[in-house]
Amino acid sequence: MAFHEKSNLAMLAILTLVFGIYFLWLMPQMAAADPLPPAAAVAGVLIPFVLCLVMLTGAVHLVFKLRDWKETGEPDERDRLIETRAEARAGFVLALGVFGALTLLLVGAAPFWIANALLGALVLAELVKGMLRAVGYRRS
Amino acid sequence: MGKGKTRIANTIREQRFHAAEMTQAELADAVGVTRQTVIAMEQGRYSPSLEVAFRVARVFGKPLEEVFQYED
Repeated sequence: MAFHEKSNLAMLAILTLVFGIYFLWLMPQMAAADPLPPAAAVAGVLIPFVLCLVMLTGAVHLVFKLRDWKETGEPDERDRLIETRAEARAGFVLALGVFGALTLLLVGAAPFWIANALLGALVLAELVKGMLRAVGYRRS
Repeated sequence: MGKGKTRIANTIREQRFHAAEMTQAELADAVGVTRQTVIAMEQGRYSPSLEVAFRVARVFGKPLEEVFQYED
């Protein structure tokens, strides 16, 4: 398995783990609070999650580089093609999520839900991109 | 790239054999792609760009049409 393919799978796993914890454990707890926390609280809570994401990603890539230092070059045309196709399709998911957040705004939902909808759309788009890349690497 | 095999066939495996059993990694280095891309090309799962196709043919010292063929 090439470095870029392994890197993609690792990112997919890390994203699922980190944001899975946020969306399945922490966010429901915040949503249960009365009154709902402000959107800024979501940003504050997210800082450790993002730091965790960055550190895990850095550590995993370091391990990959140390193990396969020869295979860590620049992406070639096949890598770029797989990336471009995955990005184009994930873009639809992101756009859909943004429209969903706009709809929430229009119906007067709390900023907490709008912030989470936007974050959810971003994470979902990244997950879709990662999955499409994984499929692309296997099929081409 | 796409579902299954492409319509562009190639003789890369055969050419490597005639080039003193050149390894996929050596070909990948000479062409400037990853070994996985060479594997995908050999298996007919990936059609390279014209530029990469020319580079592959040049590594073997063969004309393009001897390495890549379009199947009807």
